[in-house]
Amino acid sequence: MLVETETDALPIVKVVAALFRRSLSVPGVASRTARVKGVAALKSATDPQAATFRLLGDRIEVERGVATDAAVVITADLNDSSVKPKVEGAARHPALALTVGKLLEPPIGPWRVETKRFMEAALKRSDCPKPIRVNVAGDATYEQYGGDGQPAIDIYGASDQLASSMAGSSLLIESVLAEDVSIIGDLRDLSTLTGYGIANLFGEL
Amino acid sequence: MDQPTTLSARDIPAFLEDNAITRVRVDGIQPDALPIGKVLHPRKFLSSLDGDFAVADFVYGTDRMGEPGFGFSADWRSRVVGDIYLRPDLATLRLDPAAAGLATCFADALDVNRNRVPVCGRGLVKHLTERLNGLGLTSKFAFEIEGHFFERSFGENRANGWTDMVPFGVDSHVAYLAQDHHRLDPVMTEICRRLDLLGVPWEAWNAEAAAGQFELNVSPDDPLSASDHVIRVRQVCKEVAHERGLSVTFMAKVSEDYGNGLHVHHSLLESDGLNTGEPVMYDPDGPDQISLIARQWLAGLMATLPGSTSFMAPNPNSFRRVVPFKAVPTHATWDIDNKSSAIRVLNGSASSARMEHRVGAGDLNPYFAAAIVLAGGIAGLEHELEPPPKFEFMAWGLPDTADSPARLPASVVAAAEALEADALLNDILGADLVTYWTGMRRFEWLSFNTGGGDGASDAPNAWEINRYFETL
Repeated sequence: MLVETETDALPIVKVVAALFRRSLSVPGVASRTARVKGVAALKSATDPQAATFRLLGDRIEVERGVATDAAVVITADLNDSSVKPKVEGAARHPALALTVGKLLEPPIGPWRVETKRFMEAALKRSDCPKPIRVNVAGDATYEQYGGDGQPAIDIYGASDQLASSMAGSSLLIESVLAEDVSIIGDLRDLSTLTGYGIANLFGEL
Repeated sequence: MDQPTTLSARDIPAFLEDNAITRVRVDGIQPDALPIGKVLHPRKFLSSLDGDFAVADFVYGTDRMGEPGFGFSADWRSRVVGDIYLRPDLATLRLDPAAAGLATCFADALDVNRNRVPVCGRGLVKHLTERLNGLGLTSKFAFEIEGHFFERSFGENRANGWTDMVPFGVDSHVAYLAQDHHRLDPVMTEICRRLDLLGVPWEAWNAEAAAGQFELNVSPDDPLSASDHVIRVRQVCKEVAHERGLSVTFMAKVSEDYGNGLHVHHSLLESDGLNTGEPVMYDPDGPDQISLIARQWLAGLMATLPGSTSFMAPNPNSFRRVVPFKAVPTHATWDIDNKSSAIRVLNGSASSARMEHRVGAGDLNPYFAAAIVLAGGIAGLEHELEPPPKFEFMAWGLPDTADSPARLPASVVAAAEALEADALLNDILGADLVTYWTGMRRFEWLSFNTGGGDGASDAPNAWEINRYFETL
């Protein structure tokens, strides 16, 4: 199923479209989505970010803002997934609300799967630092990408945190600043990987 | 107050002593046009004349709120946090007109090997001026500076959360409304007095179309000095507004009313690098009385127009003023004396012939604006380009048909993409600057749209005003 965005899409539009594309690759989600038509929106509880998505059967269109014809509106703290979102219109449009909920939350795979997927895309870029070693904090588990030898950058984190960062659910720089992820490397390489992370978030890596 | 003229390093000790200077503020201008520097003891200033003094490279490498820019690889900054070096430009040393014992001067940013830092606009303008001299030419630039005054001080408006702001002027939407000059006159008179003392050759000011808006014109000067004048005008306006319990901004769009532009007038003259000769843009026998040099220059400006937009409109706020019929160009056009064009050619006589690049927003970095005009023009000359036909119609409200002029980029991201795709500008400006600049523009766009700015609304919200008002 095609997911289309408006020209000059805002970040939230790109992120929502990327989440949808990932969810639609999960078996069963695309066929379920094809059966549901309607307009829904996601808006931030803390700032003006908002996106509207139109489920049209054969495709989904994503645009900025909350459209006046949105039947379901989800208000969420986009920076804190532990805060329960508020959903308006779910009682009258349960199928739409449920489908949109599934589309917005693609499953995150094990850290090795997500890291491999991210690194394979990253290493195709000419400016990618290499090698890169990704370590699970607290044990000796690690994977190295982009060759052998001394890593240009070492990334340490809990397996779920690594999976989240590599899947594009959080940005590496934000995880580092929050001390959820640690690195040994330099600012330039961190900047480069952050750029890849943003591209990943937008589905453009 | 006698300002120094052409002081050499040897003359500085006497200058400092004769004027009882107790401190010298040395400002470099970082990419977002924020003055960055230190206040030096005269002793330290004298010791820096042999070379320079260090500041952390990140002061040139953050956004306007001090956040280090991330998300790109090619980077002039050191691999960890290092130093860059500010070298005072003695030609810009001035006695401050308001603070006794204070002198100010601009500086150029150099790297650890004392090479030009690619994101230093002053250094870039100097470099491109030399390149133009190599073609036997020099240039004169003049910026049309627009700003907005508001009632209440910066502090009061900040404490109010940038809400309920009251423009300092009649809400009439009539440009040049002399009725409002009595209100602006005491403020502008003090500003112009200080500009006179600083050696900034102001020519005229007037009330502009939006409530509280003004325009100030400065005489043509070499591109570096003309850019310095913009920074000094912004600084003096801030200081005078502060002293009078007002506030002022040069942000591109502070409300839904008319925004602030910063149009770049410029002309070309013969030069051997030392002496300036005759103007060269006018030719009574040329098509439209435009000389061959001017045609090639114009062609370069037109070829680089989409890419130049990234420097001319650097922030999401810049693009809020891009509205048809609001005196802002929306399409890539040029014409003779047509204010709806992106490039307006004025060619009434040899002495007055010039071009006006009208894309610039009030929040641009004047050094980069001058540089992008020089780069485009030089590209036109070096490649002997031919301009597209002039567009002799109103260049607003045009249909999106195949034969219509192309739309200019309408967002920070679209402008960055246009700059990246522009081979001429990449060649002249260098990959280091283009990569860093476009990376930082995307960083600004991301910060704006995920930090609290409202990209879907027509007017700036309090978050957006807080981000740009005081530092522009």
